[in-house]
Amino acid sequence: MTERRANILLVEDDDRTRRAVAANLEGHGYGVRAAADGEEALVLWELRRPDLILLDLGLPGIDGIGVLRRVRRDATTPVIVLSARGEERDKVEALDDGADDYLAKPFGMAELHARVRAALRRTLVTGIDPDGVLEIGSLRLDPERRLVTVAGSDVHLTPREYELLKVLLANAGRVVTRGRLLRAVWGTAYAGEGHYLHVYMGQIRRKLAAADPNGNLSDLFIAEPGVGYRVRGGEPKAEDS
Amino acid sequence: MTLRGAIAWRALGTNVATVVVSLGVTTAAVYVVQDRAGVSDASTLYLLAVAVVAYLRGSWAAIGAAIGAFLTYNFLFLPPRFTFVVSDPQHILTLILLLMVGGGIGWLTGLQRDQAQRSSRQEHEARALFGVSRAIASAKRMSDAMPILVAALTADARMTRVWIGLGSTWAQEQVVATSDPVAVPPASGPHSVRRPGADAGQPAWVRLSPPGPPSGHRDNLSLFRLELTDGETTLGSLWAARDPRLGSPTAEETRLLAAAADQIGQGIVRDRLSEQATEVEVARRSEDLKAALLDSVSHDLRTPLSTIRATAGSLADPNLDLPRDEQRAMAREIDAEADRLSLLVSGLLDMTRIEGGALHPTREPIPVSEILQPALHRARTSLGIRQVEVDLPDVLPPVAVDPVLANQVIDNLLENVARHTAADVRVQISAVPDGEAVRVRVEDAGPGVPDDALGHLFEKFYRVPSRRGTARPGTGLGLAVVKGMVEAMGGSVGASPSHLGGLAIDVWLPIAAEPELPAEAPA
Repeated sequence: MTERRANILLVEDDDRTRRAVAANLEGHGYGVRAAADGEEALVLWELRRPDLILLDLGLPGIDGIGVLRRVRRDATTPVIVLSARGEERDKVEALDDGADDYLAKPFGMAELHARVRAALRRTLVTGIDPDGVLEIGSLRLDPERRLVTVAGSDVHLTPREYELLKVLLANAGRVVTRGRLLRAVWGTAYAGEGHYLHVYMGQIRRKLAAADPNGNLSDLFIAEPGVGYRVRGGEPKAEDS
Repeated sequence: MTLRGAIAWRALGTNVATVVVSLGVTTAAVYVVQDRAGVSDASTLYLLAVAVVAYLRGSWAAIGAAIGAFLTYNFLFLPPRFTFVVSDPQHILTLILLLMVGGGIGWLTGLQRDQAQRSSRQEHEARALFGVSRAIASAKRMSDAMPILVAALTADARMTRVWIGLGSTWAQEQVVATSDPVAVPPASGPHSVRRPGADAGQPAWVRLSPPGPPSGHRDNLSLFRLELTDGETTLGSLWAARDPRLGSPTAEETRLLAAAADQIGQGIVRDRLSEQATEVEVARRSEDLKAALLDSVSHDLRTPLSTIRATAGSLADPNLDLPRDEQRAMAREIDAEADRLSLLVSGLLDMTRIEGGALHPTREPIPVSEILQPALHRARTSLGIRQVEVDLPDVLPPVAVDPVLANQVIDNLLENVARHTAADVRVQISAVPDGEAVRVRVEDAGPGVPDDALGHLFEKFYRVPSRRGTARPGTGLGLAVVKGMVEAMGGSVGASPSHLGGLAIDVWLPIAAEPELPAEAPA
């Protein structure tokens, strides 16, 4: 894990789930503070400034989205949203408001650990390269020279494909919503044109696959249907247990 | 003069004409035989004429003819001729014999004729009645027999048209069958009603003149109505309309109509009972089905729950000192069972959304590869070491589907493979354009399913019976959800044996119009 013990704020109104998850995370060496509602969560946030927040969306009082917005005013602390299955709209809203990832309930502990590790890793990785070069595995994007290479050889992308890849790589380790991608690449007027993404992502995937015979980059971007894309973090593969 | 009087007068006229003609012809013959050929007494020729009249017109005409013959022979041939005076006593005997024998022959012949006519009418009536019974008996439902019946009654009871109206009062009836679909059946006005159980002496029909426009007389027909009942309440009426000159229906015609009305009434009751029986049967079956589904669901929900409770109970028991390895194994068991439960609940929720019409799929053009990729990524744990080949043509049109639902469809198909095949089988996923759709096929080299199970795979809670006779583990919902979701997106599903040896599931997804993308210069 990390040298310093990472502190996690767990916001969950169901007592049993909160106790079980907190005990598990503590058992794995994380420092855990748990809150049962939005008010308590914000107090703990002000007091402790945790490294990561696990946030249930359906809370009494100030709801999950309210907590998230308040946190995002101050900090980029990673937030993983916990939501019941099927609440696609809440999920997308939370991701658009700055959540990094989401986990559908009921979730397994292995899945939770994988997400927590990926989110914490992102805070360590970002902002390291002063030139803004984005690099994941053998893929390298150099914004100064507008150059994309896989294992050293050039990949020719159209301007839109390049922009799309840049946004995705800049958000490694997070889930990027369709709306955010469309706004960033095509502009706000195109936020509803989800099918652009399917087509362009298909093209980017094909071009990367052609330059990457080993298939190391094959699951670099995973579509989260109806939500957006999950971008693999910057570390070598096998992060998922 | 009434119409019935006119008919009687016409019959009388016909009788008189027959008598006159036959007597005229006979008189000419008698004249030839007696006055020319010199035969002394040819009066017996008149007996022949009387017999002919009796045969043609019945007893009373024959007696008339005998009297006519008596007078004619007397007047024309017996001296003194051209008077009714008879001089020769022997001729008196001849005349009396002529009158009596003629009358006798005429009477007897006429009786015979009436008898023959009656039995012919009875035969006709019997045949008509039989026709009615057979039409009702051979039809599955009364409503099927009605058109045949009204047509038969029209002919057999000498009606212009016959129809059946159903309703509690005759003015509110709905016509359900008619022999003449063009004519608008009169719904009100004067008509005759059969008096049930009328004695032989009484008229069988009673004329009613209810208020209301006399629409029945628009085309100048006499209307006759027979009530249809189930024994207690009025179901409707059997209506018959005929030319007024035919008078009221004869006794035979009345019996025929009455028998038909009885049978129709009973037939309607039978129909209603059988409808009720069918409804009860349908309700019972649907209850049975619901009960079976409920049984299945509660069994599926309880099984993982009992495992979880038993295992968790053991873990929590302070008196049990379990080795750590065993504790872990038990916890993993709980996790796996909870996962199974979660899958079942998701399936049930999906099924509820599908069946409740709560699925509102969007339609976005998506390349098939973009549907397969995330699903394969998610399924990599459950598919384990199975070798998955993805075989997509270079050019494949995008499909118009809801990305979330389409992904869940592929998730369920892969989940199905993972659940029902050995850990090392080959899995192949392919897609080809097929008409207006892209056919996505997920197939495996697993054990497959028996041919007779293929048709049931997409049924809710259907599980392929294994060789041991027990159901394979599974929710029985995965493929039903696939079918529901694919059909909601305008596609279809199919199952067949795979060339790999196992099962092939096909999903046809509708092809999208090529998506419009903003133009961009290649970099």
